[in-house]
This record gives sequence, C-alpha cells and structure tokens, in this order.
Amino acid sequence: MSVSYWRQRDRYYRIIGSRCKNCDKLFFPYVRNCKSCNSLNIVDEEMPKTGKLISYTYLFETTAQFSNQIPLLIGLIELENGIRIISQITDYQDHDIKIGKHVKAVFRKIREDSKSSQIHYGYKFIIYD
Amino acid sequence: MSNNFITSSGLVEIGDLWSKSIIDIAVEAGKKSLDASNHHPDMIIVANMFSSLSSNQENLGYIITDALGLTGLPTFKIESGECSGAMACHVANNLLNKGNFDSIMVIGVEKMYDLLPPKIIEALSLGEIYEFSQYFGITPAAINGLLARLYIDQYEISRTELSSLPVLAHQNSKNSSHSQFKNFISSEIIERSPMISDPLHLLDVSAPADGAASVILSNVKTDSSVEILSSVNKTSEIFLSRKNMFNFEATRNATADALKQANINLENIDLFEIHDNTSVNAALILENIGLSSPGNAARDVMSGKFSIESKQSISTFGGLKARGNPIGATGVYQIAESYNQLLGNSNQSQKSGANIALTHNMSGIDSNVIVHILGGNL
Repeated sequence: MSVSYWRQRDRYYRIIGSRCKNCDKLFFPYVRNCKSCNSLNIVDEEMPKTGKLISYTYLFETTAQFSNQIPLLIGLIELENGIRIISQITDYQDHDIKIGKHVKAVFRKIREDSKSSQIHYGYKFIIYD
Repeated sequence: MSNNFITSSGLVEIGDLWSKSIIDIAVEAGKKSLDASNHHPDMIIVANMFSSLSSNQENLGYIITDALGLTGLPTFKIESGECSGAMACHVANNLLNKGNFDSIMVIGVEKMYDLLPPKIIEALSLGEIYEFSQYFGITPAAINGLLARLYIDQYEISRTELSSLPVLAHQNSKNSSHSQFKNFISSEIIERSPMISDPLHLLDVSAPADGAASVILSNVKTDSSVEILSSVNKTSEIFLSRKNMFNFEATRNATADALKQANINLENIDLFEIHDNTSVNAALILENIGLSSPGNAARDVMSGKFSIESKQSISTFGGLKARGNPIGATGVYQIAESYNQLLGNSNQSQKSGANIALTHNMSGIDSNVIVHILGGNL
C-alpha cells in the first residue's frame, strides 16, 4: 500500500488528470495516450475544484478500511470543465443532498489501514450552496 | 458461423458450499460434463476471477486438470473480471477455429463464501481501477447505485417497476435444480430488504455465491450438441468518460456483430441469458440489446413481455440474481443453461420452442462484454 500511495499521492491530493497537448482534450482519470487523437503528448492537469452533483448514493456495504464510516455518501460529480468524477461527499446534512447542488473539493483523511499504519489522505467533496 | 458446438455441460448447484473447496466444486462440474460427453477434451481452460484472494490458490488450470485425472493435457486459467466465464468459452471457440484442437473443456469456478463479507466486496472491487475506486471505498455496488438513481430519475421508473426484474428472476428459478434462490419475492419484500447502495436494496443485487459450471466445446457435431452461431467480445470506454451513461456501447456492438455472424435478426432469438447482476443493469442491458426501447425495460418486464411463456424470454433459470452469480463461473452457467434449453433438457424450467439463445456476460458496467449466440435444431 505505501509504495503505491507514495506514487499516487499528488493525484489523490490535487485531482490531477491529463490534457492532450495536441488536441487539447481533458481526461480524468489520467491517460497515457490521448483517447481522442492518439497523441502521446500528454501533460498532467489539475482539475477544477468545483462542480455539481449529478447523482449520489448512500453506500452501506464497503471494504474493511471504511466500515467505521458507513454509510458513505458517494457522489457522481460534474466538474466545471465537464469532467466527471466519483467521490465521497462529506460534512453534509441529509436535507442538503439533492441533484444539481454545487460541490467543491476538500482535502481529507481517506483511510487508515490499521491503528499503527500510515494515514492516507485525498479529495472528498462538500456541498456549498 | 464457427461450426463449433457445445457438446455437453455439467452444473454444480450454486449456494454457500462451506464443506467443499474451489478444487472440489470445479472437479464436480468437470466430471459431470465429461460423463455426459462423447468427446475426450484435448485442452482444459479454467475461468475464475479471484481464487488467489478466496482460496490462496493460483495455477488453477494445472491443479484442476490434475485433480480431474486428466494430467498431461494442456491447460491455463483465464481471468477477465466478471466476464471470465464467457471469455474462456470465446477463447476456446477461437482455438478450435485455428484447428490445433478438436475438443476443449471449459470450467468456470468461483468460491466466494470462503471470504468474510468485507473481503468479498474487496474481491468484487478488483475489476475497477484501484486509484479511483477501492482507494476511496467506492465499490461496484456504489457505481450501480449512482447509475440506478440517474436511470429511475430520467425515466421516472417506480420502485414496483424496477422490482419487476428481480421478481421475474426469482419466478424463473423456482423449478431450477442448480439455482441459488428458489424463493418467491415481491416488490414489497425487495423494498423491506436492507439498503445496499440506495436506491438499490439487497434484493436488487446478486448475492455472493459458490459455484462451478463446465461445458465441452468441439468441432464435431453430435446427437446432443448445439451450434455456436457466434462468439463476440467487445469493450467500451470507462464509465466516467461516457457522455451518455445509459449507452452500453460494448453490449450494442457485441450484439450487432453476433447477429451478423449468425446471420439472424434479434426477433429470431427465443431466449436471452443476460448479465442481470443488479436491477438497473438488467434494465439497461435489455434496452441496449434492443429488446426494449430506452426507459421501457422495467415496464416491459412488468407487462410480461419477457416471461418464460412469452415469445422471447430472459434469465430462464433465474439469471445472476436468482440462479446466482459465482463470478468466474457465471458466463459458463449462462452458456450451459442455454445449451440445455435448446436441447429441451430443462425439465420444469424448459421454455417451449427454444431454438436460438443469446448469452450476454459483462465485467464492470459494460466495460468488457461477450455475446454468444447458440442454435439448436435449426
């Protein structure tokens, strides 16, 4: 876990996708070659941190590392640039959860594999209107 | 047409098979198909998704071949997520076409109840890209829940309408000897079952299952064979990148190519075994295969359009929901069931006048799809 966490930490913290320098298309998750024009001229691009909620689900069954967070509120979010992302929604009140609500990314603790192991961080979203 | 045939099948009753190991049930299924066959296979392909997690076991091809007493035969395991079973049949069919083999045995097997529930979810999540799903606790059920909310909102599908899919699955499995659940369920019972990933309840989703199924493919026709009219594998872009999340591109393309290969129309097909692992997937698959117009699959099912007595039937032994979904074995169950329907060997589950069957096995939400069309006595 810790090697892959170290390798990916920037993507987990800052929501980094890809931009194709040839055709300008944006991707999230990141790509190794452009899925539109096949170019290999790809650079990392940080995604906007705001968007709106287009679907959500309260998740009652998940893996062991998340059992203390059940139910997890998972949202399907469309960011300002049209890119879609699935993320946990946090700090919410149930009556705020509606399709179309504006959301923004925050930096949070994601998981802890055991009491003595590393704490892993990353993005979640909050409702802000 | 490939001119290859399914010549026998062997099914293990799906359930929580605590007292048997992954090797035990794979051998049981394999022996049944061997006993029913005139062909001695010259290769064995094992389909399985996560034996390393469930049973601390890999190298399944060799271990199962040896346990079957067929040591010496070439063998390997195929893993392709939830469509591993149909993928093994697809590869076997292609190998037969190359002409190096005459008869290939496929065994699909999964042992899920050796794992505790959170581990089962971990195993099922292996098919999604880790960095964007498992790392954040996002499971396949969560993705299905997101899709289900979009779908019922867009088409104003009622709870009762969505329930018609699992209700039909359970109706069809009540007389099936190899199915996991034979009990009656109603929309009220589904609604009362625990929430998994809302709006999906426990009874909207296939349960964990232990199971193994086997078929023998051959390039020689026998008295008890059905022809493989087509075998097609297609993929589509990842779920998040799809502009229209109700468009199952791989399902559409695989179905279109399979119909073309078989040189038939959709109307000619009598029964469909679809990858109905959740209510919402079942509905979207029916729509993308072309059996229902967009948003109308649940209403069609409710009206009885796809029941066992209708012209075109689905999930004749209960589908993934009620027959069961032992992941790597599921695609092989679908093909074995179609084989038995077309031969008229299905006892009380028999659909009358079944001549052509289509099976649809997929991983993820339409990520990787395999469609087979099988023909009986044409």
